[in-house]
Amino acid sequence: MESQMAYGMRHRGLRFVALLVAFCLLAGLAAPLWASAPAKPAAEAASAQIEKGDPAPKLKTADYPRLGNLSSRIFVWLVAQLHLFFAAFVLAVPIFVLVIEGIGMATGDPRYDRMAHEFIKISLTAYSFTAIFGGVLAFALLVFYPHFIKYLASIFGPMMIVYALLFFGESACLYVYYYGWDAMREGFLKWVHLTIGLLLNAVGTVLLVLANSWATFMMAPSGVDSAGAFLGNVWAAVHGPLWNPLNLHRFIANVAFGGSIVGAYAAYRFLAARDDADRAHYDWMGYTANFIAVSALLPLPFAGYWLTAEVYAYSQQMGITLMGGVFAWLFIIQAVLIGALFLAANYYLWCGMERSPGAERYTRYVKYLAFVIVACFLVWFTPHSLIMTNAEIKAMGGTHHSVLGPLGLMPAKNAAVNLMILTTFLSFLFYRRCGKTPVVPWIRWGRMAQSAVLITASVNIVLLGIYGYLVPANVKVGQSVPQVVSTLMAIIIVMAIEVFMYRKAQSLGPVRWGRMSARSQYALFLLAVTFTWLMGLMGYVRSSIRQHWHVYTVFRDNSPDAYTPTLGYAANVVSLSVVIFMACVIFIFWLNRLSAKGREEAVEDRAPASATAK
Amino acid sequence: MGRRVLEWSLALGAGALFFLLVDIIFMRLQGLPLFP
Repeated sequence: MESQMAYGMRHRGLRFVALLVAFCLLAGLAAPLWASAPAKPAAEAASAQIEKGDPAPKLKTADYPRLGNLSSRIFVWLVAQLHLFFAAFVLAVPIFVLVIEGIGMATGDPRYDRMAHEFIKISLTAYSFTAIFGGVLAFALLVFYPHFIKYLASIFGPMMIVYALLFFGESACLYVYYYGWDAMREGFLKWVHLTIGLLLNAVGTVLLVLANSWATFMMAPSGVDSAGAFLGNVWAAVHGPLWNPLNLHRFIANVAFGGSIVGAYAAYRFLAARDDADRAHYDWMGYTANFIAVSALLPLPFAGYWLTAEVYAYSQQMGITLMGGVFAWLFIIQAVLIGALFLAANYYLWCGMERSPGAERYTRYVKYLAFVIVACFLVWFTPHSLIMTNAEIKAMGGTHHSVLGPLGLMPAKNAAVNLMILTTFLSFLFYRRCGKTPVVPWIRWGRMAQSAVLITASVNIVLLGIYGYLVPANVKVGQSVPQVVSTLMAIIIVMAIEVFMYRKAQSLGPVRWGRMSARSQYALFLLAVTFTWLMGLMGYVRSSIRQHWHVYTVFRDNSPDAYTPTLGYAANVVSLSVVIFMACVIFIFWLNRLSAKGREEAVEDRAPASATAK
Repeated sequence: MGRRVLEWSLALGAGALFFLLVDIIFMRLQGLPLFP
């Protein structure tokens, strides 16, 4: 009886916890609705009751404190970049950890649970780094840019308090989620655990979009007048024209980046594994991480395109500075890095075919896939104009090459990136098919339909690309939408046919996890470094198109650093931040391996002792 | 042989029509003509 009462009380307690968590979650998710719903009346009330804020200060060079020869800009740049790298990582990992944990729960396969636990363990150590760099950044801004941070706080003050409180919420959720993993492994408690994971992601996403609003306010200020005076509605300042494009772009990019970093961790553990079981586990982990990174990479160019289109829509001058002016050459570097990402991800998939029996049926297609990707890569990074001497211009007959010049324009690049995405999808399709033979009677028709969809989608993408040269600019930009839709439609239709065609397919043998060449793991390292570098470089471009403004056209930067550095100099600073980040990441990997090693040794020590006791 | 050519022609023709429809719909949705 007593035990029944205790059982009932415990379950009532659990129900209460679950209800509380669900309530908090719903409240958190509904927060943007509260914020957006009364926006109009709030704006009216604000204009009636709240006085306009002070205009943005007009600073002089002496208003920027200096510490000896230390460059304020470089210091803040490096710390902000490192904070962003770690923040992106710790916000992204719980997203796919939750999904993997959910898959583990649905399938009942404990390997998923182990992998998800290992992923979140890496992010836990990274969380401390995020907080450290975040704290240093806040102090650095206060010390070096006190007037700027004061102005920002005069607008976003309430949001900054909410941000700090949410950070507590994020920490609490993360610690309960990680440390409660084993205690909440079974039955109803697993649901509670998953709910905490969902809450962790909801809080993390709100943190992300809040921080984004400060960055987008600096680029495209809203909620202030032309002198920078706050009009009293904080939601109007948050909900600027670039806010949602940046939210989407950063959310997807974070997942891709997080996937690539845990992929590097898996590669590190794979190369260091001493037995086949560990090698198999980390091979599978690396494959999953690569799958996550590539899945997020595929829609990323489209989110970036939307952000760029909105930048142009907000300020054509800013848009031209971004892609047609001083920063255009960084897009060439970006193209090279994205090309490297696609090549590395495909190479890893092609190497992964070795794991499955029957792979030889598809390996012969690899050379064609490689050819298409390399060809698209070359188009993708062909510059429109070249930096040349007079003699070179004379020899070429002008600043633009007659044949290759047109490839420097967006219609060609859009076609190239869409074809690269379709080819990567095809690599994945072949990888998936390796160990199976379909048994459905309509195989021939299914394959014919898939081929027809892929061929016609590719032709449509190329034709739209060519047609883009013949139409006015607005139609040309608009044509990128059907190009993207063609790619997505082709992927969805082909995948739908594939799933039905390979249902109950005959297996040619189990996937031999762990049977991967060591060199394939270096592709995972390449992915992690390239993603990080890309984030740093393009983040610099996004921030720098404000040029000599703290807040674009509203609050002028009059510090000694109010100039755009050369691209080489900027690339060096970003590279330095990448090296520091990678050093920290290697330290985190080493720390994780150390703790795993300690546990293994403790288990080994206990095993003989318990055997002796028996 | 003739049957295969016919099958492939039908499949590719259907695909081409489908993506032409995609082009028209998604250009119209933006208020832009496909053939200005």
